[in-house]
Amino acid sequence: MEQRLLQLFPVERRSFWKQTARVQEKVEEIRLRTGQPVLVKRQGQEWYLDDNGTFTDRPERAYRVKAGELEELLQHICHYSLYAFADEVRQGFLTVAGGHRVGIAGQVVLDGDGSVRTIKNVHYMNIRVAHQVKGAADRILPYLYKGEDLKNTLIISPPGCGKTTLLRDLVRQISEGSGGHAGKCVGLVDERSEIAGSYLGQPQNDVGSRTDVLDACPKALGMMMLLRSMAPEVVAVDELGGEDDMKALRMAASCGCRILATIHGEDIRDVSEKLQSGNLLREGLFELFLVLSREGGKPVVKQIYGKEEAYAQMAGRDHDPVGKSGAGTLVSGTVSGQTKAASEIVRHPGDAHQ
Amino acid sequence: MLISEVRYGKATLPEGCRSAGRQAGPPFSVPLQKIYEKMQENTGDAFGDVFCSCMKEAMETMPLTKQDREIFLRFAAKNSFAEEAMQVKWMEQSRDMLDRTILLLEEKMEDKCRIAVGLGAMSGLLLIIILL
Repeated sequence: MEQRLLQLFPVERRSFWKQTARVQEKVEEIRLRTGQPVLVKRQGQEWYLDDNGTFTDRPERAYRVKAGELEELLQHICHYSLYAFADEVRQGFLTVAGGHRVGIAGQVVLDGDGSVRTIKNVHYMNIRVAHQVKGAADRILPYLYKGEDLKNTLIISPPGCGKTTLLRDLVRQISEGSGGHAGKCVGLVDERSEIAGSYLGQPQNDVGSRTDVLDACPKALGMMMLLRSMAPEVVAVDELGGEDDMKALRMAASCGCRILATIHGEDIRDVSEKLQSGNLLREGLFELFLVLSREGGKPVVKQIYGKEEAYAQMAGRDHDPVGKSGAGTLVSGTVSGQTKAASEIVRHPGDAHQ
Repeated sequence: MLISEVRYGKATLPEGCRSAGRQAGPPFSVPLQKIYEKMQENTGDAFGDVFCSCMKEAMETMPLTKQDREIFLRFAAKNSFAEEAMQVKWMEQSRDMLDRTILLLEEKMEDKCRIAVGLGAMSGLLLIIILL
């Protein structure tokens, strides 16, 4: 594992990164900016690295990224074949061996139609270190099942609360079979290569033996492709957004697939508009809603809502706009008759990619 | 072959070396495969360095001048381009230079052959005159 992080760097820089690689499990991200100090986020705290690569909290001792260093790093990450990663560069990120994600920024070159042709003069990099937290979904999983069947589930979370980590582990456990339930075929559309962390099409994270991954594919298109080609029992997607995603979800559900999805949002009311746009609200597609949050720096499942409670909350918004009702109405929810009060917050150990 | 891999398969240079190595005969098949294997090991060395070291080893047995070797290794010495067409063009330029060198060598060889034949005939003639 340590080797995987080190392998990101060319040979001349490996001794510098050795200490960081040793504590890789605790490292969340590495930020590199030309002329600026190297910043490493470790267990929620920012550290500098000195000239020897040792952690320090003193900025005056920090090593500053030299001109041309990031260009060289990008060449190395792209196997000295930048052209082969043109699509990834255009998107602004690359997934590398080990499932780590490298975000890049610099000077954007546009095509005539306004689309991004490439990013040149790369002076900023953000390496997000992949951590698979197996067991992150252990306590959540029983809520997802009704008998042998799965409930269509939506995970609602603001950034940094571990929704991708939770989704990844749910996919793995559903695929493998867990808690006495048989494994199911899962079709995973991994548009940003964050869940499976595929590198050259091969998942770097364990997403289960019955999971088929469509990597770097737009969600709506990917869901339709999977439905046609792989006949999944469960379709999993991260970060629902546009109307096309919602339409594809409805299509998947009407084909008898179970849905496992995540969406950006602070709470259940926050996402009601997005769900409204695809008529998902009226049709009541989702049966279970998990709301994630952070408490004491740790990601937690703040609320678990069943279908009726969730849709009642959302419908309430239409008559009672945000700002009048306030968040006080969301202190509890019920799942199959079990009330989950705020004091019964379910912790999950996921704490990595978002 | 390497150019085709890049152009049609959008292969990375190490991947291209593997495919080209499978198709090429000796003396290039072994070093090309070796380049791919070394890059897969990811010791942190740049592609250009790995390509040069493996190919230099293979070229030791070939009757090439220093300049010929430099032309052959030229394409790997430069960082890769962001665009595939540019990369292909760069590789084609290197190939064309190599072609020109081969052509030049062939022409030189023809001239040398002609001189050798002429000298041979003249020396034969001289020998006959002496014997007479």
